[in-house]
Amino acid sequence: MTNYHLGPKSALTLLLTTCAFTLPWKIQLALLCLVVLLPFIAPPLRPISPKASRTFLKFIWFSCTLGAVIVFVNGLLIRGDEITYEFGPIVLSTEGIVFGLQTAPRLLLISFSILLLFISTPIRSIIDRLQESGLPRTMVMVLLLALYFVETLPDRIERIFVAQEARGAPIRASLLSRLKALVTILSPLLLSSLSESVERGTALELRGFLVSTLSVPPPARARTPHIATIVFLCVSLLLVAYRILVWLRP
Amino acid sequence: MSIREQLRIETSGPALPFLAFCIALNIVAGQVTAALKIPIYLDSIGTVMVAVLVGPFAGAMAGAFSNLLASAMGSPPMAFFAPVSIVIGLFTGFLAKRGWFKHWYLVAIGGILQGVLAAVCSAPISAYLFSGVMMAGTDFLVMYFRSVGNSILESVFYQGLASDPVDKLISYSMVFLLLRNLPQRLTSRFSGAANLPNRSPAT
Repeated sequence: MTNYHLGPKSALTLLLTTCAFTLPWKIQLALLCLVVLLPFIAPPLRPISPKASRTFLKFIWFSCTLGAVIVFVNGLLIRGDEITYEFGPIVLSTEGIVFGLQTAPRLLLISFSILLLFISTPIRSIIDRLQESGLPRTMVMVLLLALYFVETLPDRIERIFVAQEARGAPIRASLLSRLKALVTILSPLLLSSLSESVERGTALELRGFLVSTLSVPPPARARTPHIATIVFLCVSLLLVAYRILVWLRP
Repeated sequence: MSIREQLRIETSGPALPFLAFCIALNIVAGQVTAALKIPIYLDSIGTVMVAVLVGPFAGAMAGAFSNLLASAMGSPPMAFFAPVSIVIGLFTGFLAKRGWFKHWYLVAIGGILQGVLAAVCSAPISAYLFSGVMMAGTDFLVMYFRSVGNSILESVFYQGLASDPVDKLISYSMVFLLLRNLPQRLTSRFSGAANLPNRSPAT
């Protein structure tokens, strides 16, 4: 079985999130550029599938657009004494631009740090690791079933949508009619899922899955923390301590 | 009874797969509203459904897991709003236990109250962690409130008050309509069946 080293990766996510709240925006921006490059230069952080790769690339483009929009709109809407740019009705204030520059890297750094963990680790591995850490078997089952439903629901919704449209549901009418159409789409979906839930629940009970599931101890596995995990956690703690010191300084 | 024990009772039998379905529904509900071009999120409809039909703790669990999975599936900031979803699940579950899902007018009041509560809970997270920018259309509303001289916290709170009660009112009404019309032979298998309006055994 592939060892995905979830420890260092989750510690890196924690470190980057800490950086997003403790470091100045210029350093955050530099870190952001590094984080975007990490999946291409660090093998353990490479996307696990072409789909994950596409998600990451799509998010890079989305982030560039979003960053520009945040800076521009804040510059436009937040009034300040100093004006950086003026072209006809478009007036960008320095205060707004600075606020945008402080906000965008933080939001994007947090987003990329979480995304980096998920594109390089299968969700199944994360769930396994959570189970090893003591997550009850019932909750593990809920997460695995939810993943199954997330994959199958869009197809079901699509089929119901087409069927209801063929039956004349007001899909392209006024807003109120479309809200009513929402009920006609969700009703069969809910009905089928309830029937399926009853069947699956009975099957789980018959197999004895639900007997004292919350008291089963997690499978114990001795692990020595990876050196990278220790380094990332220590740097995170140092950054938090530095921030508190800066905050306390008169 | 401890929360752990309560959760074990709530998630027994068909409630466990139903809980998973509702988590998935929270994540993909946006697909339905987008296809119908309805400008609402409905990202807590599954949480509300679980809270009413299964119980408050299961509702809280559905909310938390929905946010964590959504975060893993391409909306990273959602993980930070897991506490808001937990509050939505708990609040809805307790309202349902007190019979608020038996009458439409109580459902409407509950939805609006839930919206206000969601706005109160999410405002500090959105303001202090993300400076009010959430990568959504409502960001423009926050920026508008900022432009008229409000602080970030106030702007995020006003934005929440402007959009959340409507969204939750629609979610609550939708769940009320959906659950009311379900056959009793199915709903009676869930611990929250008593929270639904009384109907004749024939329905």
